[in-house]
Amino acid sequence: MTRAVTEARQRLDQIEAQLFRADIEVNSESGGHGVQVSVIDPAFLPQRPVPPGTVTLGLIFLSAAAVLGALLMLVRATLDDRVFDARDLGGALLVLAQVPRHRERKHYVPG
Amino acid sequence: MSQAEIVKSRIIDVVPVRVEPTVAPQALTKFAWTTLPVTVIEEVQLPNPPDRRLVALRSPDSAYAHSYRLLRHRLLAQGDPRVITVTSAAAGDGKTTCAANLALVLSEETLSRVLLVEGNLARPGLPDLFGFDPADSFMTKLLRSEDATPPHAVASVSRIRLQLAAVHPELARGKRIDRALLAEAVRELRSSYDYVVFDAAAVSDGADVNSVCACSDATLVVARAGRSRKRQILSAVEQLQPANVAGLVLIDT
Repeated sequence: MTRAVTEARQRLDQIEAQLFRADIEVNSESGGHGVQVSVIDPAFLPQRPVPPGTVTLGLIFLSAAAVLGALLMLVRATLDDRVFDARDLGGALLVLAQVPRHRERKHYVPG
Repeated sequence: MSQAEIVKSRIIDVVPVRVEPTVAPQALTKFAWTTLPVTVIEEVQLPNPPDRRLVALRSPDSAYAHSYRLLRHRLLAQGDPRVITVTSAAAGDGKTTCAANLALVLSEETLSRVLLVEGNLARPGLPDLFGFDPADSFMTKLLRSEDATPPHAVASVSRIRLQLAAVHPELARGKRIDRALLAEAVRELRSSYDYVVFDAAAVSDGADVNSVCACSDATLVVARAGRSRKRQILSAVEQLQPANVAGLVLIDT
């Protein structure tokens, strides 16, 4: 029974292929081109995913993000003119004193 | 009419004016070192503990207080300016804190007479810093465009040799400093104090700071590390010209 079904499917495929070729020939003759068209290499579904894989793609994106981030940091550091210490002024103005950030004991003891 | 008669008529024309003393007698005796033309109109009782920004009072042995002593030393090395203006490029950079602590370390010197003056009408900070409601100081008189004749009213601070000329924030609103009156007052104050420190407005807050700087011997520009920008600072120094900008004080490093 199964064999019969398989044979019938194969016959159906052959008939559909013949019908497809006949249609192409009819169309080409009716168009007056006189061109013989035939399928040389039929398409097929790949058995496995095509590389690069997920891991490779992830690594590529991470590397690109790191390079872009570093470039962005470099640009921001170049454009940032905030003053953090006397060197940042480049001698443009005399720094008389640098007062450290005051951190006081939690409980004030009068001196 | 003879000359003697003319003189007599002028003397008679003089209307006698009774000058009411504005100084409490105990204040005069307590601050006998304060010579005229200054009168002490009130004594500020510092809250206990004092404001945390008054580090020269709260932690006199801290590195923070020592930095202000170093600033005092550097100023002495720069010709010992007697009238010092403290300003900054933008508001919130720590002018009031710097001016108050500088005034405190200047007052640590023996017999040194120091006056801290409110010059920031946009945001008066001295009343909040010292925790008091200021009476009418000579700066208030200047804002009302009254004359700058002595005696100049100031407030003394309890337990320390520092005097204040603060302005009530509500009185300062929308007012401008009269340059001529201020110059006249500062000229008088030089004879009464060893140091006068102005807590001035930021350069970005208007031209009042230029009026104050014009009366000063030296101007200090305050910048806060990690917040102030070099371009703003240099622009502020340029706007302060021709004032004598002694240098920069970098805080919170």
